[in-house]
Parts: sequence; structure tokens; C-alpha cells
Amino acid sequence: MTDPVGGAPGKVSPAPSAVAPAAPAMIEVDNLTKDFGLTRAVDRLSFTVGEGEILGFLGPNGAGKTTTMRILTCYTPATSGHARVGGFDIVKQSFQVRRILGYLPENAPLYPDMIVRAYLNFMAEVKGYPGRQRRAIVDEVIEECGLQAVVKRIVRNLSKGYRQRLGLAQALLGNPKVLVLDEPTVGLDPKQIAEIRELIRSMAGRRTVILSTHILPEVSMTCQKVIIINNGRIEAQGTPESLISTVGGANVIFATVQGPAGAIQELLRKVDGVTRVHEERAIAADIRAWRLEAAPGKDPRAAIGEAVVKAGHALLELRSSGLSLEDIFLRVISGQSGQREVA
Amino acid sequence: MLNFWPVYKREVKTYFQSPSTYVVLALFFLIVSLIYQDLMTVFSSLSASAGQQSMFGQTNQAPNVTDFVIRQTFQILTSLVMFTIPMLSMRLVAEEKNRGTFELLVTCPLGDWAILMGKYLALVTVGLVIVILSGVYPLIAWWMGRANGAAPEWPIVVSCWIALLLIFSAYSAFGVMASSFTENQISAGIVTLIGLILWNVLGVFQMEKYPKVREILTEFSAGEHTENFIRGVLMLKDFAFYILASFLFLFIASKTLDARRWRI
Repeated sequence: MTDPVGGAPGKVSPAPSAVAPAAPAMIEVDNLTKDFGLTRAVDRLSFTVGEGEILGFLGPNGAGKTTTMRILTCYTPATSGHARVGGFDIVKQSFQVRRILGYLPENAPLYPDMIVRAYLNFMAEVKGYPGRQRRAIVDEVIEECGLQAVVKRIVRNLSKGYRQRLGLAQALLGNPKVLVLDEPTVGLDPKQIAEIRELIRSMAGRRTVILSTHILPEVSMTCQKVIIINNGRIEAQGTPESLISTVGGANVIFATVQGPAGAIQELLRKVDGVTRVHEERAIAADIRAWRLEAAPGKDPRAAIGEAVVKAGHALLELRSSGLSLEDIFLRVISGQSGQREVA
Repeated sequence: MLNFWPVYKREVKTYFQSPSTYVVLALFFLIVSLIYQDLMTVFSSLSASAGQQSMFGQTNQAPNVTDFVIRQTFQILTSLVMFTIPMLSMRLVAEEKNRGTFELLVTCPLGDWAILMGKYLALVTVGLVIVILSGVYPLIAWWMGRANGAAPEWPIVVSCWIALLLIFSAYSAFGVMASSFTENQISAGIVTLIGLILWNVLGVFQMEKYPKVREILTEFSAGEHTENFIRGVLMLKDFAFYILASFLFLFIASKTLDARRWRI
């Protein structure tokens, strides 16, 4: 088994303990490379996903997410490198891999002229489930994806949300061990996004899921493990928390205080652990919102509260806004992270 | 290859549920029927005048219904099939590629051959329907001529109609192949039409300087191998020609689909 953190040097590698798969590896990817002519779409990708884990692939468009997924689903071969899904080699045992794998390609391709149930029935048949089992299998995914209301509708007339759910239902047919979902929430409205995310999150522990997205909150909400990929290379990987603690420099705190601006600024600056004080905006004549940055790993909120109240000012609001995954993503992608070169 | 059944079933359903299939079939039978009606009119006037001539002691042969009607109808049917196939076959693989459902199918535990065979056999099923329906023409000839004993020669009718199905199958395989080349249905249709026309005219070139080349080309042309069937002679080599051609085209199609795995 390869190192769970990935062997490539020059990457952000959080403490191995944070990402060590709790369960045996379901997906092992070793030095996967894919070239399209002169363009390298995927560059020496290595990672593992434990059984029951949900892995989020994060990256800008064209980073190589879809290509990686296509390689893992045996749609297209890698130029070099190996990968195993459920213990089966994706090249030599592609048939066995495809049997334990459910795949939702980008944009959820469907047959527009079919009726929803007939479509699921067809896909179950193609996946090789005999007639007796098929009905139960189809009913199961209809239930799981909440498609009961549309089973008799023609796919063409479904809303985008239902199409996406139907694509997901198709991937879930026969309860596959591994699910590969390419941008499962793209084009959905916020309510539908929340539903799909909830559905995916509910699979944790039961199924191994790889999902790709370029929407950040999605990853922190649904995934236990994140891989940030850019230009075909892994830029960072780990749990959302470990990424924040590794890459995340400053901890940002917002405070709203009533009182004279100059005195307060001076006061805040003196609080232990605060590295920067910045006036965000004036809310009223004597009420100001402050944006404070704290040293990494420190939470000076208690000290701030104490200092402000001791000085006789009114503390109206105090909240920590830890560096979000979004900030990390942008830092990693634009190569600004100072720790990026630390092996 | 053996699990083509789900794809086959879906394609057959798609064919017989789609209005465009019926438009194509209606157009096909409209054109054949118009020409057939014309043939029959000419034939009946010819045989009437031949009958009159024989009354005056002239030894003019009356035209034979098998020669005049059945064989000509067969020629019309085979040439129209050439134009019908592209309309029916162009969407088969191209549409799946274009919609992305192709990616879905090939990531299922299903071989490329199963997909191609399912689609090919579905199109051949449509061909079988066309062949059976066009059986109405010999029946009409028989019914019209039953009074004066001018029945068509049934063995020749049967061998012609077997040839029709074989030709349809070989053309279908060509259509499936062209459809697998592209994700654009229209290109697939055009390639199929041009390909089929070229395949048919292979034997037309005179090539006076190279008689050997001409012989080979003729042997490989699509129409050449119907000659025996028209005469009511069933030869293994003619069966083999169309069946091998079908396999060759499907093989190329499978390699085309496989090519996505070659891309480095």
C-alpha cells in the first residue's frame, strides 16, 4: 500500500495521522499520469481512499478531476501508473471494477426519450441484474433518491434537479461499493444541493465515495478527506480541518466594539496573540467593526473580551472566522502558501 | 457479446416508438409502390399485346412475371435500402456519444461488442420488418396473374428476399460502423450514404488496362453477389460475402470504440 499522504514531494502534507484511513483501502492510486498529446492532464497522482470514506476532489475547471474519474471508472486508460478499486486492477480487471462501481458522469447523461422507471430498469439490466432482482433494486434507488413522484414521467420533461437525482439513482443501482460522482450538484438550486449533499453524507461509512467539485463548501460539508488538485497535480490533501491548520496562516476574528476608535485600536493591538488590527467599518458614530488576525493556533477571543470590558467599552460582537477552505484553496491554487514547499 | 439483450431491446423499442422510423418506412414503401405500380401496368400491357400477337400466329414470347416484375422489384428494393439505411443507422452510436450516455454504457460491466451487437441486431430487426412487408409485392403479382396462370416462381422470390435481408444486414453493419466514427449524426449519415454508394459502384469501372483489378473490384462490390440469388441459386460464397462484410464492419466499429483506450 502506498503512503496515504501521497509520495510526491513539494506538496502540503499534513500529519499522516490526520488522514490515515481507518478502514482498508478501497481505492489505491499510484503515480497515475494521463497525457493528451502534449498536454499532461493528470500528473503522477497518488492517493488512497479507505472503505466507507468520502473523498472530495477539489480544483478549478480543467484541473484533471474528470480525467482522473474517467480513469478510475475504466472509461479511458492512464498513460502510466496503476490504480486498484476494491482490490481489482483497473486495466487488467476492468470488468470486476465496473461491477462494483457506480458512476455519475458530468452533467448526468440520460436517455431523454425514456420513462424514468424504464430508464432505471434498463440500467439495472445493463449492469447485469436478472429480472427477479431488478424490480427490488430499482424500487430501492427510487426510494433513496426521492424519485417516487416522477417514476412515470419522461426523462426529457424532468427538471434539472430530478435529472441529477436520476443520474445519482442510476449510479446507486445495486448498491455499489464505490461511487464516483462527477460534480453531482452542478446546476441545482440551493434546496436541491442541500438534499443531494445530505444524501451523499448519509452514505458515509456504507459506501466509498469520490466526488469532484469546484464548490468549496460542498467539500467541507460532505467529505472526510479533501484533495486539492491543480494542473493535474495534487497540491494538498488531508481532512478539511488538517488542511486549515497546515495551510491556514492567520485566524481571523471579527469584533464590534462601542467606544472611541483610537483607544480601542490601541487596546486591541496590545492583546496577546493578536497580530493585526484593521478597522472594517463604522456602524454608528461610536460603534466600529474590527477585523483582527491572530497568530496561527491561537484563539485570543477570551483575552479580547476581557480587555475590552476591563477598559470600560461595550463589546457588542465577537466571533472567530477561521480561515475557510476557500481561502486555503485560493492560496494553494495561486501558489501563495508559504508552506507549500515544505515537504 | 452475449449480453447484448438489454441494448437490443432498448434500441428496438426506440425504433418502433419513434415517428421518424415510420416516416422513413412510409417513404420507402411509397416510392417502391409507385414504381411497382408502373411496372405492373407496363407488364400487363406487354403481356396483353404478346397474347394478341400469338393469336395471329407470331411466336413472340410473353414477358415472364418473375423476370419482369419480381427481379426488377428486387433491384428497386435493394437500391432504396441503400438510401434508407443511413437514415436509420446514423443515430445509433453517434447520438450516444453526443449525449454522453456512451460513457455511462461503457462504464457498466458490458463489453463494446455487446453494445454494438445490440444496436446492429436492432437495425437488422427493422430490416426484417421491411423484408416481410415487401413480401406484399410478389403476393400482388401472384394475385393479379392467378387468372391466366402467370404465377411468379416462388423459389426465386424466396432467394431474392433472402438476399434482401443479407444486403440490409451488411449495409446496417456499415451504418453502425460509420455511426461509431463520430458524435455527429449527420456526418455519420453522409459517410454511410457515400460509403454504400461507393461500395455499389465498385464493379462499374471498366479498367480496360487492368482486367484483373476490375475482376477483384467486381467481386468486392455490394451488388455483385446478388446475381446468383436473382437466378434462384443459393451459393455459400454469397452468404459468406455478406456475413463476413457485416463482421468486418462491426469489427472496425469495435476497434473504433476501443480507440479511446489507445489514446496516449
